[in-house]
Amino acid sequence: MFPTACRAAIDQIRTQAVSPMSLLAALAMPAVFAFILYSHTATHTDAATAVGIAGIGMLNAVIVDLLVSLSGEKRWKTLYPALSSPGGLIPLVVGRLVGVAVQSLISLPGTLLMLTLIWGMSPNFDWSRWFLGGLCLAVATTALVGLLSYSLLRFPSSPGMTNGLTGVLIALSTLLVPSTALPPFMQPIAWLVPQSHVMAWVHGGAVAELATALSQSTLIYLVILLSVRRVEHAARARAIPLEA
Amino acid sequence: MSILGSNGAGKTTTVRMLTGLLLPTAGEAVIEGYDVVRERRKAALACGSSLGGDSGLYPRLTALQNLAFFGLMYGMRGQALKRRAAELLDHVNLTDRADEPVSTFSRGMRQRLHLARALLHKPPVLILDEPSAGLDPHSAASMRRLVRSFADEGHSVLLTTHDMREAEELSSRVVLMKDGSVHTEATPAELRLGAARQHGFVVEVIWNGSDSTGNCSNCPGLMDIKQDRGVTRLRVRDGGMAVQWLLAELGAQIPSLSVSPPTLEEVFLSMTEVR
Repeated sequence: MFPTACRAAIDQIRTQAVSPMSLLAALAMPAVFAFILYSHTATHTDAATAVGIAGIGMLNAVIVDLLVSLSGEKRWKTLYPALSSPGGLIPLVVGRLVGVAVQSLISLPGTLLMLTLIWGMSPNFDWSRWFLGGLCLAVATTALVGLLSYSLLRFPSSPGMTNGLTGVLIALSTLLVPSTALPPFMQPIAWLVPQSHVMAWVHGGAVAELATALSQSTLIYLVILLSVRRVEHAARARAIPLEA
Repeated sequence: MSILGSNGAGKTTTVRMLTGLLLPTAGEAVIEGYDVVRERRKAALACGSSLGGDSGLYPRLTALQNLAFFGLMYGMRGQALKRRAAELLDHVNLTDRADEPVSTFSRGMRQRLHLARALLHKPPVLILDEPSAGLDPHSAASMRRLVRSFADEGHSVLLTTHDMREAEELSSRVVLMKDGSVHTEATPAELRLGAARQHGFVVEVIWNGSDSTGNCSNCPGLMDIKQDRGVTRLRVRDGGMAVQWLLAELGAQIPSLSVSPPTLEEVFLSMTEVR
């Protein structure tokens, strides 16, 4: 399973990493948010802002890239040979998720460069929190968005389901505003989202926040694996089409 | 072995069950001794499949990259995988296109690449769903030669097809399916000879010239007769008796004569009652 997943990740990057849609998703949307944010604050770029803005790019990129990737699998009917192979769909989906996560990392240096060129860098910029926080954010974002894999594989009209998801996740993941800025009923929900814990650590929180984020992400990845198994079973037992 | 049947007869469903894409609701299916449900992984390793059409490959990847990816799915690794992929690309005449994206391939080339993909892990059983569907006559003939060569190498080949000539050319046995179950199983020759008892033999007479057509209306066992400018096709109960009579009565006018049982297509049409 591991070599297949690695190869699926490499092929994902090889075929999509430099696609205009992928680059725009990773860099254009965070730029818009950065302009809105700085029109109110007008300060130099610190690590928390840089990671938060990169997180928006990652979120958008992972949604778009995963959608394009799995829709492509359905359009090209490549899920059938995977389903009939000994390992089934899991190595393929895991590989695509890893590839998508790596692709989304372009947001981290890409948005930092843009923020620095336009608004300058804070003299106290915390490089370790920016780098580690960014990596963990990619892992957490891919986990959360990866839950979409089930619906993308299972339902024919699933691409439409991703509409509006970005906005909800941006709010819940506290990428731009702290959880205290959310309505009271949303605050407990925000702590169920691993990005919120990553952002809490980037804002100066304890390492336990990162551990919580990674634990939550691991749990979500397990749910993704189980949901892909469910898709496999549904495809075999009820002949649901794995093609677009 | 070929599976023949009308649309909806159950050919593709059978193939999908054998290749682990569909769970049977009853009964069992075994490939190389492995139950396709209880021992799915082992059964999957024992068979290679190509389920028709020109999709099922990654258009942005090259032929070699596609084979490498699917080879990994079947547990192949490193140099062994590279060697096997190169060997198969050579076998299906795609070596010179190995590093080109599949999106640039014709349908026939994609079908050949499918075949190579199915054979990567050297499965003893090869399952093909309409391997030459949609191909031009040259590509279809090339595909048939390839399948024949794999059968000659010792692979068991199971194929579904609508092409009776393909079934006859490639199969030592033919299964006729109807309404989801096996209607008949026999060799192509057995099927044709069996049908001959019901539908008779076809005797084709070629006359010396288009104007010198002989009168065959008294041919023994005559069931049907068709004239076509210098050629007469008779359908008779007993081919041997008809030939004897033709040679005795009209032999001087006949430079060529042939007898054949009904074609597999006629057998198929008779079985499915489309005639």
